Amino acid sequence: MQEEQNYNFAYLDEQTKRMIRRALLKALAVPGYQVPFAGREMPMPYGWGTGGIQVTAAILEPEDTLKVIDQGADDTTNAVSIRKFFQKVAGVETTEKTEEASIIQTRHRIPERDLEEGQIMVYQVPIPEPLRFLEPRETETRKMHALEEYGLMHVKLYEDIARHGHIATTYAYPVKVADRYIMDPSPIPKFDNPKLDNSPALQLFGAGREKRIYALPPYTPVKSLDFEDHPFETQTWDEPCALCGATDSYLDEVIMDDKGTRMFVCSDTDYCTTRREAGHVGPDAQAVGEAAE
Amino acid sequence: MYVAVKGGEKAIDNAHRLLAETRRGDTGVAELSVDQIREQLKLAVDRVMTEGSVYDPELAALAIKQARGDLIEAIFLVRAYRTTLPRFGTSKPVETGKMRLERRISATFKDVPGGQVLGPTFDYTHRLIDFALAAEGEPPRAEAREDFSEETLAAPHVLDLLAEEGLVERPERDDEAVPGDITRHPSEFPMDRATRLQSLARGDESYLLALGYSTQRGYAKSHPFAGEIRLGRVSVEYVPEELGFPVEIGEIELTECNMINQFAGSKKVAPQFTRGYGVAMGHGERKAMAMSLVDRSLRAVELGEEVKAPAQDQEFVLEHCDNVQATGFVEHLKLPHYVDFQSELGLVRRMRQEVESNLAEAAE
Amino acid sequence: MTVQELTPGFSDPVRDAAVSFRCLLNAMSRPGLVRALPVQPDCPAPFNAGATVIALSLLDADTTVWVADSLASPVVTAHIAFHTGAKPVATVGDAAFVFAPIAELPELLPQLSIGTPEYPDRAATLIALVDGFGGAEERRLSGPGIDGNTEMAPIGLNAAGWDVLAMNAGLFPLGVDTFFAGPSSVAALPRSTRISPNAA
Repeated sequence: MQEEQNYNFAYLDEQTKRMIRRALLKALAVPGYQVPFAGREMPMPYGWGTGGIQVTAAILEPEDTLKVIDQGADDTTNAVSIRKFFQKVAGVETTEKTEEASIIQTRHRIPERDLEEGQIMVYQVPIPEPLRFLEPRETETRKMHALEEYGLMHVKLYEDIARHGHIATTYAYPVKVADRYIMDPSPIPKFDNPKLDNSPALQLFGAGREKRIYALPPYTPVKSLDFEDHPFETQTWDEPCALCGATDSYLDEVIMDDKGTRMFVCSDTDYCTTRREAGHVGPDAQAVGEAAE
Repeated sequence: MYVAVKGGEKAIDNAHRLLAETRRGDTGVAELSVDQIREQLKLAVDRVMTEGSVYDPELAALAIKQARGDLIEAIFLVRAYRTTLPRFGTSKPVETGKMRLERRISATFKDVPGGQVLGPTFDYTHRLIDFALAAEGEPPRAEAREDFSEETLAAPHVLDLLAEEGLVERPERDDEAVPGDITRHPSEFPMDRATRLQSLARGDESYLLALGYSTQRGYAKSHPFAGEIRLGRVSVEYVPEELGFPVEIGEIELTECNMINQFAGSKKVAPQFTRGYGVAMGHGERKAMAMSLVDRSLRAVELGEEVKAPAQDQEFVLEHCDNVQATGFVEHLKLPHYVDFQSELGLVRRMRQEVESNLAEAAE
Repeated sequence: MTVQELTPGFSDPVRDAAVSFRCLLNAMSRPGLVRALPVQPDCPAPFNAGATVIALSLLDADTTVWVADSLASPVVTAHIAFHTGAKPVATVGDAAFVFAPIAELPELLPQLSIGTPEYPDRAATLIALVDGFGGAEERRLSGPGIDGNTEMAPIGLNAAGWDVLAMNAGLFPLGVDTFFAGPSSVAALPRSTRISPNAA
């Protein structure tokens, strides 16, 4: 793709990059703490991943290979749009293969394949403050983090248990980082929460509209909040991926017709494709193959 | 049968082409020029400059054209452009007291030194659709003021006259202070007034209008009087480091509103009027007035008033006044959320099952 | 100082800054791990390459800086002023970035800004110049960014220095973050790293 000459490498000017870089270093030094940063207006709307894009732009070097996913998929429109943006303004290599990527920018998922040392995950974050829905005021939530006063969060989760018999949070499930800060893992399904824990990859979080950056260094303990008598648990499915037969991946439900027929397929498109290329076959793979022809 | 959603790239390209085509509309109708927008849709251009935070009528007009008349989209375009501009320095504060006036009215005095100048205003028009405009005729020329000259069209601020007597507070003034910059520093609460005014100045006009309106209807003690509204041109001066003295680098049009509000006084301070301040680039009276009402209501803490209305709540008002942020977050709901929805779907199914089995057990 | 005497900055500013920052990011994300510098700019004496790279990568007009007298040669002062525009401050406790030789760490570190409970990010970053790694005083490190534990021994960091750093770690989430800047490599020790005596 033609590299855009009218903008600086990776779009942002050097002063903005330095400001973000300084924030990233402090975010690493205090894992899980949200560092305020002077987020800039980006050429895509707030809510489309401006925080993640600014973080990626600030860490990107010309030799990087970038993967962008939205909902786990490389081919969703927003993932395509962000990937094209970086091809255009940074001229970097892009890939859909998780193992080939040095930087993976994501919205709402963590790839199924285990991440490796040296890889960097960049999460797009809409509301970075895990306490925001319990307390709308920044002045108050900031105090709560300072004092490590997280009782309100436990009360909320416990109310869930009292009402429903279990915790009723399924995504953006709060975690405690290195036994200190409660952190919002971005709206990933809680299925992905265990992947945050002690990951060999570096994980960076950018919230553009709310102007916050936070980070998890590799090998950082990340614990999903729970109670002794109600331990944290992830989602499970009764059936495997219809296409590749995986039983260990997060499945999307696809409505097939107006009679309520449904099928379940991997949300991680690279994971599913790689498995199918290796010869794994799901129960509906043949039917789908025929229909596509 | 299931067909994976592929070809996002192609779909985006096609959507962009379709957008360009729709923007142009019927090619049998002459295309709008940027000049036409700048000259004939000036109030839209002015709003885009104000909320886009760049004084550049040409750029704002182009943005309006590109945005198909969607002003928030145009403001977004201007902001995204602005953020890439290098920054040479900070101008001297503009002297609105020396404004070359095009319009200047005060609601608090029948006449004021310098006079009431109506200028170009909708205020006393009858809102009847003017079908003559559809016929595209040339409008009649307005009669020039006989005493028109640069000198006579400058006039002191009305509120300064009251301030002489101590009846109204004097505005804080500090020419040496380095102004805060909401585009370079993340917001921190409580926010000082100068920084609040910056946020309000680029804040959404309709949002500030509704909040200002709420203060008039009892959600905050307000009792405002429009002390003065002025529209005109002011010089922008800059002190280049190598020169050490100010040079005029240009002229901009501004609308300024000084609202007068009651203040009961306290044990220490005699009763006096307080001010709310609003300013907009170009001609933006509604914006400047609404802003001055909200500026005043946000001073509640400083003036020892009880904070109980939305318009008095800094975090609420300022964290939600930016329409580029607001529209982004509201509209991002269009993006796929099916992974999270799947999570919720699973949970709701499970909870429904639990309730049903509980009911079944109870029935047995 | 004339333009001729001024040490040049990065030769390819955008690219050099990008790869240098990645090196610093990697260092800060894996405390104790020594990272080779990807670029070797000309250094204004007595700054070494590590200190020069950090200054050029992180400082600008939006940052405050304090340089120890022992390092503040005219060429260093001019280098920072010309290439970064960082604002020098008189009191070390007011500086966001502090450059000092490793020998001054024990005395200096307790004077630096440690941030506030509500804004722990407002703490200083100390850049301690070292001759390299593999020194006499080794300590065991553990905490975020470290798989189990690791050892570190910046040359010139004595027992007193380690004691001060251990006290600093005890302040977490407040505290100073340190880069050890060598002539060809850097390593980081954020406040989150726990320091214990070497097992040996």
